[in-house]
Amino acid sequence: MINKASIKEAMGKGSSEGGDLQEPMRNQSIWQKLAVLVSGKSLFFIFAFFVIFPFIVPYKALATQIIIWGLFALGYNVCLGYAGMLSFGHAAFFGIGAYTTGIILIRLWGNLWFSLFSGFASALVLAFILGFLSIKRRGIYFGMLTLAFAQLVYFIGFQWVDLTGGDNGLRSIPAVPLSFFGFSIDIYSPLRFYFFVLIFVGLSLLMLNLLLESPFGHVLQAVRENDRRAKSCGYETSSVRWLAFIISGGISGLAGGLYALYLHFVGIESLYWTTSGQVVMMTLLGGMGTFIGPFIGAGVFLFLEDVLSRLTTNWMIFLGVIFVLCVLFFPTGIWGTIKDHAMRKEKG
Amino acid sequence: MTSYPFYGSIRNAVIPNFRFWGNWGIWPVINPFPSESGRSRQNIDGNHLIDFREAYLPESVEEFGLELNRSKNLFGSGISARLEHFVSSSPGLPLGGPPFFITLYKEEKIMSDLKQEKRNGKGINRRTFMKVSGMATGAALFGGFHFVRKSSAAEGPIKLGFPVPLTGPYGTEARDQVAGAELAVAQINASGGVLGRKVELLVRDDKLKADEAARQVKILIENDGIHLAAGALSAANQLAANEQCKLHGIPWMAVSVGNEITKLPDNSVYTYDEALDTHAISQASGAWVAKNWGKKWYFLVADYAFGWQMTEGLRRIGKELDFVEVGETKHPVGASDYSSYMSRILAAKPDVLFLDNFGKDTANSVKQAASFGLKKKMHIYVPAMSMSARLSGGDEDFDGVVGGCAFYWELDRPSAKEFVQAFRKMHNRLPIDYAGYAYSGVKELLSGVNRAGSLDPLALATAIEGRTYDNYKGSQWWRPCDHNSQQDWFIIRSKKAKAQYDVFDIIDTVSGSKEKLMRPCAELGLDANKPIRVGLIKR
Amino acid sequence: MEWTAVIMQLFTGLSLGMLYVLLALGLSIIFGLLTVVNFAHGAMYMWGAYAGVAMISVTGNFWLGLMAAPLLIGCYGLIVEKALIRPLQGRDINYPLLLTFGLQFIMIEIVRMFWGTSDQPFPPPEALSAPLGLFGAFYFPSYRLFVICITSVVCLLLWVFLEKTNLGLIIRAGTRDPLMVRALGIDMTRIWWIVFGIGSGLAGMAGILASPIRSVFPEMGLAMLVECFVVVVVGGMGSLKGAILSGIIMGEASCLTALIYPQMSDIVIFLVMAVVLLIRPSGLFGKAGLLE
Repeated sequence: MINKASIKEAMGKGSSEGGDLQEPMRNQSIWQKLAVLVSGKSLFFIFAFFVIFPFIVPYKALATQIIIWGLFALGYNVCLGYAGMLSFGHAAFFGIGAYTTGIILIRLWGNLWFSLFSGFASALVLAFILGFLSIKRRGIYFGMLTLAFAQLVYFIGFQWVDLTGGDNGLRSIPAVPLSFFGFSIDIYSPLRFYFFVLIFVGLSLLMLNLLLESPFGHVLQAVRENDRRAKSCGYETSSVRWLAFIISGGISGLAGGLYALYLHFVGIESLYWTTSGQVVMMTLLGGMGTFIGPFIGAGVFLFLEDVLSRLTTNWMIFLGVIFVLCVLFFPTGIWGTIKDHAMRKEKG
Repeated sequence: MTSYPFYGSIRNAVIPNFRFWGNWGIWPVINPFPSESGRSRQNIDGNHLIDFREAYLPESVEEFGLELNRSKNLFGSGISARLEHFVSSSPGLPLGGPPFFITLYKEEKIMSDLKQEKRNGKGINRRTFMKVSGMATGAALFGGFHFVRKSSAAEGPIKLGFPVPLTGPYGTEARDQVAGAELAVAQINASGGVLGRKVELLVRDDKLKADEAARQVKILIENDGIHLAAGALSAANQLAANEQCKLHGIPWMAVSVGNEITKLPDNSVYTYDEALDTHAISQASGAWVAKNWGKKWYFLVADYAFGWQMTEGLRRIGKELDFVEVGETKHPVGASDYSSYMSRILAAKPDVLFLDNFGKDTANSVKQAASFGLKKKMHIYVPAMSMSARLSGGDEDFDGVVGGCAFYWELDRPSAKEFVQAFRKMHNRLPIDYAGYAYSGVKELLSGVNRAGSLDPLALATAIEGRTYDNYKGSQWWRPCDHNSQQDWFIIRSKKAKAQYDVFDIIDTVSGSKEKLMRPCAELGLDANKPIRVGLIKR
Repeated sequence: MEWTAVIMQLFTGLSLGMLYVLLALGLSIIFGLLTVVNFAHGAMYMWGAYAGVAMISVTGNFWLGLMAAPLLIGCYGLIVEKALIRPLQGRDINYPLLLTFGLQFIMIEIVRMFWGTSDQPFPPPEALSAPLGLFGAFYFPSYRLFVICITSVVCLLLWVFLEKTNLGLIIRAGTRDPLMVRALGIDMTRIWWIVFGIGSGLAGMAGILASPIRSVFPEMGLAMLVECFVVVVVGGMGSLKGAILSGIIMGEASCLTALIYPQMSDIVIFLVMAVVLLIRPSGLFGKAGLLE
């Protein structure tokens, strides 16, 4: 039976631990209150931030890129941060979402909702299959298996030129307007597209928040912390992890579909393992155990990459150094470190 | 010439454009999503979403007057140069027709009031001040969000976007592309610029990834307001950049070898291809090889579009020459180890081994073929011989290898000598073929605009199509049906290096005249008798 | 198919496999003792090649380079372990993995800054550049035969080191049960330091050995790294026997696929790995439960 007590026991925690406040709120300073607000998953603040986000970055296209990759990293974080599985094959889900959305728009039906939904669904199906094959292994073996399967998907995408365009990419994705209830909005100006993507990102944030705060989410974290103990409490750990993998893949596919719409183009590199590597770096940079951390990581990574690549052709070295420093000194990532700091301040 | 826009956009973000008078009215309140990309307009289901700024923004005062007259001029004459200045310098006006004229009228009135009061010496009337500050606040509140600087159509430099893979394995080629483009831009600027304005080259790094190329071009169009674009090294990047340019109606000049860009559905009235495509290269190679070396051919093919297309083309020309295909082996792109293919090649006993790959793959395969003693048993031909492959392969391994290239600095033609001299003077080194492509492509775009007399893509197309020119390698001709540049191809043989780039001898020239090397228009899906007008975005 | 072609293919597979073996040995030995997945292994391989380039441009002698490159990269490995990996001791297993993942990008960029992005020419030494007639039937590059010979010698030396010396004994014990070895009073941090250096040195040697065969360019380690991981995982992380065996198997598999269906010669190692992992979850000789 899943209830809070059994989950806590599975996680190996006593009943006295937990994220409750240590003192009544009215006795805290304004900074501590702010810290609590910020360190909690205040979706409202996050969403409000993202609404003004495009106006504070140098150009809107970067904002859109950041939230699409942020969504991808968020999905990946379900696999890495919450389920504790280091997967190197998420590019396959991203790519298949992108390609499916594009192909359906070009060949089947020029409906935006349907194409995005099929991108999401195709990634779910692929995650179902790959998860079934890989989930029994843990650690580096799991990572290598996912990498192997992702490379196979890349190979198929590369060779199936009629469908995907091969290494020339999938071109001529039409700019289909958003239509509902008879209205037709052209969403392709930079700001409009940003808000369109933000709707999906917001919905995903909401859904993931619900999911990860639910008993299922807690079971997932329990499985991550101590697989055997969770098993001994009666949870079906491989099924739990499989489901997390599927959800993670689905969100990555949704991000891929949005990326296809954003560029009207899908390159073959979206299936290559370098894309997987990039999302791993973003998730780690932002904080893999946290909820919103990967978003921050994606934002920082892309922003830095953009800024640095205009200043010098050797931008990779700075990114590498920052990444190494993060692993050494900020293992919980940027957001994780901020949260820890806030928690520490809150505790006095 | 090259610019670093990041500082520019910080500056523009911090200092909003206060000359942006016109956007204080009702429209921004009603329309929460102002169209900020002045050029984006989509033909969707036959409905033309027209951006009124582009539709009514004149290039000159006279044109403005004509537009005004045409649209039932309610506000009388009295068009002043000042008004034209305001109109043309207002960035990002929202979608809207009538409010445009209302605001114009209002600002005309307010400005003349201001001037009147100043002339009366009374200082600025409080009411006028309120009006002006109200406008300014309104502009700042509703228009000020457009922190992005919009360079107007009538002043400021002409911007040419240039995405190339500066980071990544082909960085050296990319740098030479930039060098060639810079030379062209410098020459054009020195002789008066384009339409009287200077040209600015905006180089971006697309990291050899197609989606990065698409993104960089998108940013260049939306954020930096480019008027023209050129560049890309890989075929995938060409196509991705082309896609973005087509969407926004920006002329795109491809300056590297591809094969799809001249075909439908990728080709369009905005697309130009300065370089030869894989098909042309294969046709040029086949004849020479059959004549000089023999007809039993073996293909070692890189397993991607470039390799497949090269092999297809070689088969095609080979069929005309009665060749015998003794074998074909596809190797993964970027493979480092070709040893496993050597036994098959040796067993097939061909006369000629074609290496249908590029760059690093060529270098590796030549090196390993030489180490397995293949050169003793057969000739090796590299259809697309790149300088970097030859340099990294070394004298010995490449000895006796023959290949083809679009340009070699020793070419004995007057325009080639001039180009090499100018390039040497500017960059202190010899140009490779990619530098030449970029130079010629950029020069054609810019001189085309000059000849057309405006930035209108249709006028540019008309100015370029059918033109015979000679920028750096001999006579070239723009074929109207597909915007492909007809040109010659050179057969080169590797020799012992006498100096850094002195590694080849030109042993033959394959003429490209009479469209011999190019595919017929019909095969590309185009009409041979009509210039290409596909994808024209109607204003 | 002629038997000469098949024999030649077997030899080429062996020479390819031997390079995999050298890399896999280094990775496996590091993992077996430190449980650190060294993602910078490919970059160290690349640095070995560039160290060779530097040595040859300074001294003009390939043999000096062959001796110096592993030593240089081994020293570099010692520095990396002390400065970067040691602080992560005791943390989750993913952290050194991710750190070395980031480290490889730094190493690639450093090389790009100094040598540029294009290939470096690297001819084999004159003594070994002529193809050797084997069995009078076909030519085989003598350099590749040399690679096979020298990797066999290195494997032999490594075996002698591990089996017959005291340090080797400690290393083997440490792989089996680090806690017990520490309980016996032996300082494992020292041993880890040395082993990381040995592993990196092996990678550096593989790099310089591979340079005359393949191009020397900054990204040469990336593709090799993925293949090397596959080899190690198939052999079993931490098992040296497995590394040698699976290296040879993978090399042969790749080459024999090239005879039948060449486009797949890149992918076939992934297929083999997927199959092996599905049947034997810990690889051929791996210990179950090592990574759980």
